[in-house]
Amino acid sequence: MNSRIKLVMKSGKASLGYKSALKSLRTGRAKMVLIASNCPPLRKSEVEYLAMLAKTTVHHYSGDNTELGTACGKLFNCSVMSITDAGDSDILSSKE
Amino acid sequence: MAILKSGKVVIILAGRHAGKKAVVIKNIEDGNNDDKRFSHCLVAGIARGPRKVTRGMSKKKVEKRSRTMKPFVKYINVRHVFPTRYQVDMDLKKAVDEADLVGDKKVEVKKTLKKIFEDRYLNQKDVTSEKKAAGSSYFFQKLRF
Repeated sequence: MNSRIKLVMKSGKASLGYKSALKSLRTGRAKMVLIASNCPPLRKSEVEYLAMLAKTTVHHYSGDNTELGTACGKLFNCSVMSITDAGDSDILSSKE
Repeated sequence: MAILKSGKVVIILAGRHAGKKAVVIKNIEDGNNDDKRFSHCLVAGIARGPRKVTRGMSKKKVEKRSRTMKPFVKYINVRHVFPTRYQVDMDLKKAVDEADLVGDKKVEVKKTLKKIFEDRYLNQKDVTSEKKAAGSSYFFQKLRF
């Protein structure tokens, strides 16, 4: 999974963070949403509900927000990230 | 595809009408060029719902108490709105003409909205499909929090 995220960060478009994830879900641009394991449950349910409405896949990343941030190659943590364009990665097709 | 389609029931999260339910009439993505440069939507909601009715009340009283709804119309930032999975099939686009949303004309718009809401509330059994019926009943129930 980490390698797929790395490829998306390199070749595709992703937006890290709760606010931007919600924005991409609302406009329908998000293709997939990843949620870290230690995301607060209310926020997690909110993102899941919106993703259900937008018919976007949700992947519960096995790892907490620090690990998800590291997987994205960033020096900060990230609880929620949305993938708007997968690029060369097969993250969208393999997780169906 | 965007989530906020017209006819969708939403919950207002901020402002005077926070906690009230509304129906999306029109979604304006990417804002308009003058004052609202953010994506917003035009919603029509219930500011004050119909009064409670009990079994012992006469039919005339029930109808009188059911006609005490107060609607509102508002352009609201999409961030201050939470969509639900319910949909309502009231034909609101005809009732709410965009030009009529200033000043005195707004009162007229609200009057038509009140009538539409009340008619739908009293005739909830007439709605055919199950999905639409669930949406209507959800819309008129007060959100308890």
